[in-house]
Amino acid sequence: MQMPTFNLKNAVLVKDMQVRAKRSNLPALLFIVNMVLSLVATIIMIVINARLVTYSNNSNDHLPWFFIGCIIAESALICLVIPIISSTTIASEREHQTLDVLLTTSMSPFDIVLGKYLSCIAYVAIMLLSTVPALSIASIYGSINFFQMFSILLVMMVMAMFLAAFGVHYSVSLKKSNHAVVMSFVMTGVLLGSTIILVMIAYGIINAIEASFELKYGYTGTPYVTPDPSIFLLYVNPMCTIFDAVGRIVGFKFVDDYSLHTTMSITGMKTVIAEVCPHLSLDNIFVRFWTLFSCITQLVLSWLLLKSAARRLDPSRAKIRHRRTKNAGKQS
Amino acid sequence: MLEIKDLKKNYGYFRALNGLTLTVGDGELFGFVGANGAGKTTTMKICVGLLKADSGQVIIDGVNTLDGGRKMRNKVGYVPDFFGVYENLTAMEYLTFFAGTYGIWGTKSNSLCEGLLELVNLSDKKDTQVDSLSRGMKQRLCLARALVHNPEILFLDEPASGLDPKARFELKEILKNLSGMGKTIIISSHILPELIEMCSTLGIISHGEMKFNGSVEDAMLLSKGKVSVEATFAGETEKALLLLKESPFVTSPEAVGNKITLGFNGTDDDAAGIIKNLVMHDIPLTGFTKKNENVENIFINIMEGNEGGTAENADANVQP
Repeated sequence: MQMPTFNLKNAVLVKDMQVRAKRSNLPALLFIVNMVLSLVATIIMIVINARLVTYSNNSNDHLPWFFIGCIIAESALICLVIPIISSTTIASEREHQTLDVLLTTSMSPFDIVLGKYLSCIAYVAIMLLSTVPALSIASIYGSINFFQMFSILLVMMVMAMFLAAFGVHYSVSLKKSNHAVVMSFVMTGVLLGSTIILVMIAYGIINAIEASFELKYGYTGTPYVTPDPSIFLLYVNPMCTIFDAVGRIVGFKFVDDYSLHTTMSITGMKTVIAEVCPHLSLDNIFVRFWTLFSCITQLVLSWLLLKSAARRLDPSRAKIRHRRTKNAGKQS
Repeated sequence: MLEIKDLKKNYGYFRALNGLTLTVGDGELFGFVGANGAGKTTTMKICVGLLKADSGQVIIDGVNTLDGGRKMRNKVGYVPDFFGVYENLTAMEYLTFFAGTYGIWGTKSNSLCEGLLELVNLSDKKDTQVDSLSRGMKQRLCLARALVHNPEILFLDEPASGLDPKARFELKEILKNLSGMGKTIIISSHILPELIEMCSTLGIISHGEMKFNGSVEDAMLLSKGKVSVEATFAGETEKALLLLKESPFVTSPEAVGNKITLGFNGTDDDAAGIIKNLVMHDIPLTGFTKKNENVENIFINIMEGNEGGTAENADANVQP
């Protein structure tokens, strides 16, 4: 028998990959994801063909939709798959009564959490790589080069990492895996929807205040208080990051043709900001490099979530409740 | 090896451990006895770092385990009372995974795991799926898992529960082997006769407090002088009860119908004197049977605080 040495590999990651490789879940998932993507691509192609026949437009104006549709479909699939696989990681260990034994090994709680997290990420990475052939066809039709396609895959990977961090966090916090799955879906919905709603509420309130000031004092210059900084709340919205990355790839000409200047525009956050935040400089570095800074923010938040999950998992850091016990008086 | 000092733990309003103090020496096979909810599992979980105590100290080979940390976890091996196994892993893969958690990989890990499977008599099952093993085999595999990092002290929580007699015997033999190899082993169990046969020292816990901590011989000495008597009468039971209460060798006589049960702490001559006295008072005595207390009754008495220590058990650490 050997004395323990320094851990270089993560045993939980190795074991999880070993177990996942033996299950039929992964091939089934790959089949479903690619089938959905193919279906979406086929539908978009039929619609584009129909429009070309009807309006006899230039095909270059329509074909990027082929790529955009596939990316939106794949992002939606990630939002559906990630909460399920990430939020069952630690919770299922607890349900199968294997967690206690794992916590008595020399692996730290963070190593355990990281191993579980990385096994989810590896799972999603395989899923994303399996869609490369389908996306390649879409890229060719949409005049997207391979570098641009892989940059989008990278952004989707960051999105998966961010959502998986929430899943793992809830997997540690909640005792049952089905509760953790529900909470992860709720959190995904909050991230995708509530951030936009909060920004809109902030604009609504501040614009209303500005309007009342204008009425009272007749002042129409630069407002003292602007709601512009609240747009950065959308840094934590992974779909905004995806839309910005896609928008920058398909180009602004495409946007002008389709006039998609809405809050959730596929034309890039710069265009959205130009519409919604007229006072904010578009040369602002945080606006110009929206995708990059958004990805960094999401990765930092993921790291903090994993650290917090590890802290919750650590039995030696459990809170001690200094309560007066009912039988304390009798026994002391 | 293991020293627990004034350990306290509350679960909300329930006091699970109330100043538990315990010492286990190097290489001892220590039996940890107590009723359900007495605090055995809580004590073990605190010792292996799965629970945080409210106060007190747990020192394993000079390291305070309450600080947690890798150093402490490398010193202990733990087999919980309820444990699960991973699906889709063979016995060999299961052990290899746990070897990996201690940083043991590659050929080192393979030879170690094969050695451990041989130690627990599971060499022929190394390629069998873990979830298809019997309960006894899983228990032995879990024991091998707890030994993967060569710990100095092993905590086994109810290892024999749910096992058939053959599996129990095999487990007992493995534990004796491990004890022979110099491992300090702490076993909690409800099967008291087996613990007495196997263990060198015993600890009896009740309501979160140690009631007894000493050698098995000391525990057995507590049975000396503990005799119960069952006397039957053809009539005059109430009169007999009054006479028996006057005897200095009789404790707590109780009458049920024509039968009186009582505690007796005298000699055979004293018993003869009591019978003679009853007959002299014209009481129709039809039976007088002495019964030695069995081991389980002694433990129950100790747990309930009725141990009544004698001169012989002065060396044992009986805590009223």
